Amino acid sequence: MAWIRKNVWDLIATPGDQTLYWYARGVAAMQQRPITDPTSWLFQGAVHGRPGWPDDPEPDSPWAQLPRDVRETFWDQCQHRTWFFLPWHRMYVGYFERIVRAAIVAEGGPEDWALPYWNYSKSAEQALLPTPFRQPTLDDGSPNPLFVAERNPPANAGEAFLDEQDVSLGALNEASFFLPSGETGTSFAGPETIFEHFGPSSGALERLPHNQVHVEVGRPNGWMLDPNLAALDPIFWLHHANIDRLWEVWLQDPAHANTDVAGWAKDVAFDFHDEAGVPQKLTSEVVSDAATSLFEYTYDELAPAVVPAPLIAAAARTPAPRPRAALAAATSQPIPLSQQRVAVSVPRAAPAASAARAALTAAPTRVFLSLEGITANKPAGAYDIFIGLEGPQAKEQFVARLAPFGVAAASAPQGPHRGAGLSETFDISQAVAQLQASGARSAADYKVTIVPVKGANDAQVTVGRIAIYEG
Amino acid sequence: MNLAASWLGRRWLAFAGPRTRLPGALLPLVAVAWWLMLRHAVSHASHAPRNAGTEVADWMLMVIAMMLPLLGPTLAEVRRTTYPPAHALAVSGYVLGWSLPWLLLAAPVAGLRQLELMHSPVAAGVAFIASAAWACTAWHARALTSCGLRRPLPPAGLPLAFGACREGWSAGVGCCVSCAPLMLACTLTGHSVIAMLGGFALGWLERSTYRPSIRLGAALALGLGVWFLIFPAAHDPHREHQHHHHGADLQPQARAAHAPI
Repeated sequence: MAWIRKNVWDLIATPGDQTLYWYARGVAAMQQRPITDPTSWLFQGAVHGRPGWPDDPEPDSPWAQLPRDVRETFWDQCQHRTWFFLPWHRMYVGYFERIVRAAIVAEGGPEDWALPYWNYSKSAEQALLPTPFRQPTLDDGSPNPLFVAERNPPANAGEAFLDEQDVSLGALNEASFFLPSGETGTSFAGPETIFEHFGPSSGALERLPHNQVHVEVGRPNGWMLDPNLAALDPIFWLHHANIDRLWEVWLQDPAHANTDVAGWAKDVAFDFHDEAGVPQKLTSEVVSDAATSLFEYTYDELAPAVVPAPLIAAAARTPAPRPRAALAAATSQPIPLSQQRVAVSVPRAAPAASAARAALTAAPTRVFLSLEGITANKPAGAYDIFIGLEGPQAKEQFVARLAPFGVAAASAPQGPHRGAGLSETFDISQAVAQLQASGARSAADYKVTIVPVKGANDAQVTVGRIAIYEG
Repeated sequence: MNLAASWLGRRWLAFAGPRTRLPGALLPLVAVAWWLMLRHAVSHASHAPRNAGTEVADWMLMVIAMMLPLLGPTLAEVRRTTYPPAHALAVSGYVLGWSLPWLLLAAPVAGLRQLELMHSPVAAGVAFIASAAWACTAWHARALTSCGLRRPLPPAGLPLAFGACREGWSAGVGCCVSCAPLMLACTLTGHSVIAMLGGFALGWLERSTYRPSIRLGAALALGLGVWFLIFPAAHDPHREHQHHHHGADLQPQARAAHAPI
């Protein structure tokens, strides 16, 4: 049987549809189970991230009830900023859906229940938080399992809180599935890594809209803002169903394909529990096709919503071969961000380095902006990034919205990368070409402006280095 | 030399893949270190007590042979994030900083090797078992996280040199904390080939595979410990030393039968 995941707003608009009602019943049933039950709400939430990670749980907290080997095998496993981001979350959401469905069926609900998705990119109306998630109580006065107070207040109030930039689908223009290890650039799914709870940098889809929706639903201090709490918010699952759907949308383009590199497809198995609480191991190749995977589902709509014009010309979209980009300009001191606009000059390399580079190549075909070593003392809000070239024609081009989802966890000194923070890379080839076309000097130093979006929270955010790579 | 190094580099990458990328210039260094250590391992004289200076040299050769290749991805990142003309400076600074903690450990290791007790198979076996136990601790797991750049490097010049050295030192300290027990065990075997190859494989399992496995690495260390406890004929430096000096009455075949592995 193939299950069909549907747009949550279409379901809401359908008279008599009970998908969200049964979702609430399923969530409530899971929330009643003890944390020692692998199909419980808290256990499943901890699979993504456990509160307080990477420290050990407090002795009197629910998370301390399970032995260390169980915690280390099944919890804090979410793959972020890695080419495993998409398949791991497909497995996570797939098993969650089966657990919820089993709970629903046990309560007399429909066997064809499937998890809805939240298509926030489709329209301004659909970018609102779906209605059933905003009501603190159900019609009978009992607490609504889908409501969480720890969200962006305008979201729970039914007000607009996501703008076009937050839900941009520019990621669908990415030609390459992954970024090979040791290279500078962008990709759809993320960089080649080993098993990574928090890897070096995001793929395009993870950055937008995934990270930004997390940040905007969770701001200023809500659960969706923190990877260690995000899965406890019932909207998390509809958000990730949409991200999973966008993976399928990307694959509709015949020029796009998943990778078959063994390191992604076969070499790493991830641990989960199925709806019976039985441990399972899956590799990425098993879930690379949603319809034929063991989860057997599809989506009611795989046509993309509005997709921005490509950032690079079509001829440059071929995934391989491409010149290896080299460092061309970089700051030498960390840059603290604030609640005000910050403009930074990014000087080019010393003349010898530039000459050496110029001797090797003609004008660069691709230019990348990299914000490296972004750290923060707590979960942070979003920033808009602009690029300019120093000189009398001081124009700027918008690059992208930076959503540092997970920055606090990545900054933890005892974390997997000893507090190295996050890095994000953006393709600014088109922006630089437009600046040069408008008269800016091509060999000028770069200027990067970082502007907090919608009021930054009080997190102390620092960018370790801003770098420009040309290739 | 450059041609040979780049050919070696291309062959290595084709075999090992991008996860193992090591700057081509370091490949000859690693190759020479392995050759010297393997030559040393098959020599009877390797089990005789050696002077402290030689022990220090052996220790550092072993570190270059076994530990340096595991830095491949980090050095690739160092190169990627620095200006091309500064690559050599960045990599040199990082490797220098990384090697200093190991060099500091060389003196106490050399001192230990002067003790007759440290030349028995029991010492080697116990050391491997202890390293297996260490591998199961949270301290070891935390030390493993130091394998990688923690902070972006300054792009060029003296700040880059100092920054790379600092980052290398930080990684080297973590490397020592995680791997020094294993490396000590390898040393106590008289740099046995089995120990060195097994130790290298263990480091590989813990860092460079797509799904690093500390448990498998610990199991391998435990296996090496049992091996060196059970098969003392394969490693008895005292008996080998006696044969070397007093073995004139033994037939050549008998001497060969006691050759170390």
